[in-house]
Parts: sequence; C-alpha cells; structure tokens
Amino acid sequence: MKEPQKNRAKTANWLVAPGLFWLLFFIVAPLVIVVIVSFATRGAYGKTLYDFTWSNYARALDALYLSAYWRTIWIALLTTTLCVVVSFPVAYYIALRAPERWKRILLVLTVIPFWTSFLIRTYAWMLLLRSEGVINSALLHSGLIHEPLPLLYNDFAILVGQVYGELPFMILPIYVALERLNTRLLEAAQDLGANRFWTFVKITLPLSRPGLLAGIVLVFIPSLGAFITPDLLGGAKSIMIGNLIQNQFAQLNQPFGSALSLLLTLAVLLLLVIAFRAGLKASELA
Amino acid sequence: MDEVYDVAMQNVCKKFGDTVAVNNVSLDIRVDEFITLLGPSGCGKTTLLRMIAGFEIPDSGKILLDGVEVTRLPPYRRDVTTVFQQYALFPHLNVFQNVAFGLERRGVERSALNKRVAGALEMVRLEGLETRRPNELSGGQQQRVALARALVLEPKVLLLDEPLAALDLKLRKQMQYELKSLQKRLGISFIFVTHDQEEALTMSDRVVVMNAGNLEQVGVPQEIYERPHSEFVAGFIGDSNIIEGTVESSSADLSLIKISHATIPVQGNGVQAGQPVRVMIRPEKIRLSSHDRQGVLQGRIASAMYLGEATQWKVMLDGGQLLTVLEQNTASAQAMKTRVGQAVSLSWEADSAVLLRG
Ligand SMILES: Nc1ncnc2c1ncn2[C@@H]1O[C@H](COP(=O)(O)OP(=O)(O)OP(=O)(O)O)[C@@H](O)[C@H]1O
Ligand SMILES: [Mg+2]
Repeated sequence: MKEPQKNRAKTANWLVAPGLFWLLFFIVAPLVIVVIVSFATRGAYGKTLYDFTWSNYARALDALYLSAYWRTIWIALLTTTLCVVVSFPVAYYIALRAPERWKRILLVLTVIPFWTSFLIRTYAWMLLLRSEGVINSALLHSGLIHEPLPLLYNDFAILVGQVYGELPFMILPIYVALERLNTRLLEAAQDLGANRFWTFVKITLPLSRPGLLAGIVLVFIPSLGAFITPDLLGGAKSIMIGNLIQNQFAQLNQPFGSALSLLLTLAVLLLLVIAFRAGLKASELA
Repeated sequence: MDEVYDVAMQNVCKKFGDTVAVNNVSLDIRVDEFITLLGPSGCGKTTLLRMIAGFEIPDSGKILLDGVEVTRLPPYRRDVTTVFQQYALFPHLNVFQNVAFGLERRGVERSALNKRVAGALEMVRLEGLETRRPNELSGGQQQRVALARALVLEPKVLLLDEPLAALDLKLRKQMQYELKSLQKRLGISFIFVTHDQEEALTMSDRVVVMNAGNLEQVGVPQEIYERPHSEFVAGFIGDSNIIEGTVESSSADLSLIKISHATIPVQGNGVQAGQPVRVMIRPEKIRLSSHDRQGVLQGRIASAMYLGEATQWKVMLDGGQLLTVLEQNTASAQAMKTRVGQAVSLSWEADSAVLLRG
C-alpha cells in the first residue's frame, strides 16, 4: 500500500525539476552574478575588474544620490496614495453597485490597457501632455488658458504616467476583496444602527484590508523601480533610482549599477516582510 | 383611540420584476407577541421581514412601528433588530465586539456598555467566550452571539429569519425553548420565520400562514390547526382528509353535507343548501369501531402502517374514497395485521369536521 505512494511522490519530484531548473537559472543565477559584480570595480573602457571592494556601496550612499532616493520614495508614495484614492471607489462600484451584466465588461475595461506595451502607452501620454498636445490645444482653443500649461517633463507628468500604469494593479485586488464581502454583513451593521459611513469604516474597510494591502504592495514596489515614466515624461532633474541604475549600465559602470540594484532589492524585501507582518497573504498577490 | 401595535402593516405590496413577493399584506403585531410566519419556500416570508427591517422598500402600502410610520426609513433608524439566517456575524470582530457593535453606534458610554454586553452574553450563556472570533465558535454558539447582538439593543421588535434551520434537532429543541422563555422574560415582540410547522405551533402566540405572497390565515396555533380556512392551510400543517360534497341543509351552527353515499354533520354555517363544499377532518379525530350502524361512515380497512406510538390506517369508504385515520396504540399492536380487510365504521365529534372556504 505504501510503495506506490512513495513512487508517486518520486515522480512528482521529477515533475518539478524543470521548474526548479528554470528558477535556478533565471532568478538565482543572475542574482549571484549581480552580487559578485557589485563588489567589482570598473576598469578602462567599461571592463569589469574582479577585485573585492565595498566602494560601490560607499558611493551609493553619496549625498549626490540621496535626492534621487527621496524623489523615488516620494513619487512611489504619491503614486500609491493616488491609486488607492482612485481605485477604491471604482472597485467598490464594480463589486457592489454595478448591475451584474456590467461587471465583466467593466473588469475587462480595466485590464484592456495591458494589451498595448507600456512604452507605447507612455508615448501616447507624451502626445496628450505636450505643449502642443491634445490637452493644451483643447484648452487654448476653448480660451480657458492663453499659455500652454507645463504638463510634460516634470514630476506631475511622472505621477500621471505612473498612476495610469499601476491603476489596474490596485483596482483588481480591491475588487476581489470586495467581491468576496458578504453583503449580509453590511445589512447587519445597518440593522444594528450603523449608517452608511460607519458601515463603511467598521465593516467594508477592515474586510477589504487584505486586498488593499495587496494593491499597495503591487503598486508601491514596482513604482520604486520605475524608469520608463521618469525617463520619458520626467524633466532633466526628475531622476529616480530606476534611471540611476539604467544609466550605470548604459555607461558601462556595471559594478555600481549592480550595487544600486541590490540595495533596491533589499529595500523591497524589507517592505515585503513588513507587509506580511501587517497581514498580507501571499494568495492575495496572485 | 386606536390600539397601538408594535408593528402594523397596511396593504403592503412588493414586486421583484414580474414576481409578486408580497401581495397586499395587512397584519398587526401586538405588543410582546410571538408571531410566526409559516409557508412554503418563496412565499415571501423573508421579503416581509426585510421590509419591516428596512432592507426593502414596499412598492405600496405602509409600515408602522409603535404607531410611527417607517415605510421609507433606513434600517439604522428603526427600533428593530434582526437575527439573520446565516447569523452574519462580523468575522473580523470577536464575540464581545460583535455584541457591542450596536451599543457603540448608539454612543453608550464605556462602563454601561461593558455591563450590557456582559448581561447579554450571560443571557445566552456565552460568558468566557468574549475574545473568540466567530470562526472559532460552533454553530449553536454563533447563533447565540447573533441573538445577543440583536437583543442587547433592547429593540421593540426582534426579527428572526429561520434562526434554527442550521442547528441539529436536539440543539434546535433546546433553542426553541430558550427563545420562547427569553421572549416572555424580555417582553419584546418576536417575528419568527420557519419552515417547520411543529416549531410554529409550539412557539407562537399567533401563526401567520403565507402562500404566494398572500396571507392565507392568521390565528392562534389551535385555530390554525383545528379550524383551517382553506385547503392550503389544512394541507400545509399536519395531515388532513378532504371530502367533497354538497350542502344538504344548514342551520345556526350545524350543516349537513351530503357526500357520495352518506350525509355527515359539520360544524359551521354560512353556506347554502345545494352549494358544493369541501370538508376537512384530521386523521386523529376519527374513531374506528367495529362494523355497525352507529358510525357516520362505513368502510373497510385497506392498509396499516405502524408508527410506534400510533398506527396509521387507510380506510376505503363504501363510497370509494380513501381516508387516513390515526389511532394511538393503546392496546398491543398484535391485532393490527388481522384488522386489515375488516369492515369498520367511522365517527367523530361534529366540531372536528371543518368546512373549507373556496
Ligand atoms: N432580491 C430579489 N430579486 C428578485 N427576486 C426576489 C428577490 N428577493 C426575493 N425574490 C423573489 O421573491 C419571492 C419571495 O422570496 P422570499 O425570499 O421572500 O421567500 P421566502 O418565503 O423567504 O422563501 P424561503 O422559505 O425559501 O426562504 C421569491 O419568488 C423570490 O424568488
Ligand atoms: Mg426566506
């Protein structure tokens, strides 16, 4: 009776082998390489010299780069906050208010942007936000303004691009949490004397916390590493960590770029630990 | 002055699309009354409760609580609480917080709140479980939390939508008893929904039988059982024999009804000679005796079913109709088989037979 089961377990082990190999090869191996390179130095013509040094990490703490870190955190925070503010009502409407047959259509609409590459969608935002762009032309024509508004190449533009890009990652987990919410509980709260506001604060909000937390993680972390939006929509001064890293690799300073990447990865890991402590469930991120 | 009722419903109607869930219902619930809504699935019991609680707004008609119209008032402004069918306890709050929820919203200050929550938990015998979450409780315990949570607010009226349906038989019997004694002690009107006719008969001051959105009959349990107005009520509660016939004569309180081969006396009037009617008689009201000319009807025993405390006989009347008779097993059951096939005569008290309307 026992033997076949054991055999089956062995077969199962073999079945996960390709996946495991994939994981080792494409995630662990690059990470190891990055760790090694981060302790190297840059030689002439961008050649990497493998002498062990902490200098890349020391350089990462240079005051020169601190403003980029702060800007990154600040923009990521703002992006996440704005996403929450916009997403909650949308998710709430789709999950609890929209007529049944509209739900699916609305959900599809929220993910339709994914059908086009993010780069192309960011270019589209440039067309909208430029001085001669759609928005400014319309406003000038209508006579509401006489000078084009500075909509592009600043932090505002970065925020617009980021919020736009991350919105579905916030809407979907909140939607899932609200969709699972037993609406009898909302009735029970009202039955016990809670008006709509208190029902929301005491029941809806706490019960959608897992989704909210998942959304925050799914938006905040990618925002820390963003480089397309700041690159295309941001101004000369709007540099974020993502651009910094990208620049190092572009300038063939791989060791410093690797050190920065690792620091960012560590920061993200730390945030994830905090989020899991706060009650985030791995299943919510799927 | 008009009597003030805890709940008064006047010509209340509610439709969902083409479905008429509640059709022109008028019902007054007296102060401190235990009233049961009974009826088949989909007859509108829940909808009626939800309109009293404020979760649904009637299409027409009025609802008054304690003499004040509340037809369009939101649930949080009505002095009514509900025990939901699946309890609807707040999963993120513990037992104490669940019970305290309503008091907090009413701004009851802390020490009074603690005392009232403790009192409510004691009442449903849940002391010591304050810090448990709902998913750490048994079904019966959850049911008690739901009850405490609703009762701690001391509402005028408590609505209970099949609160015992999920409990096993033993727990159910015990909770029936506890609910009834709580209601008596607290002096709160209970409106109780159930599918279980026995539950309805044993617990209620009055029973409301509903059918397809209409009130079929409202009355004390004895009335509902002994004097059903319609075939629907007779058939829904308990077993019944329905005999068709025509009125031969009708006097002050006795009518003679002619059936295929005999004439039977029936209490009740309001019918005219020649009118076709139906007569209902409960199986346990019929007495069987050996074949003689004393009984009202003559027949032959067709089959017997042993039920433990009683025996159910099927008797084929000489006129060709099959009646069910229930007889307590006072004597030994030995003789049972030998009686099948015997001729018998059937009799009953005149007031056991009921004239059905319509
Ligand atoms: N929200 C709704 N939308 C559409 N139809 C509804 C809705 N609520 C109830 N109904 C319909 O109204 C009728 C009465 O429903 P209700 O829930 O009041 O029945 P009930 O007597 O409580 O039945 P049960 O004993 O099965 O709980 C049913 O035909 C039901 O399908
Ligand atoms: Mg129901």
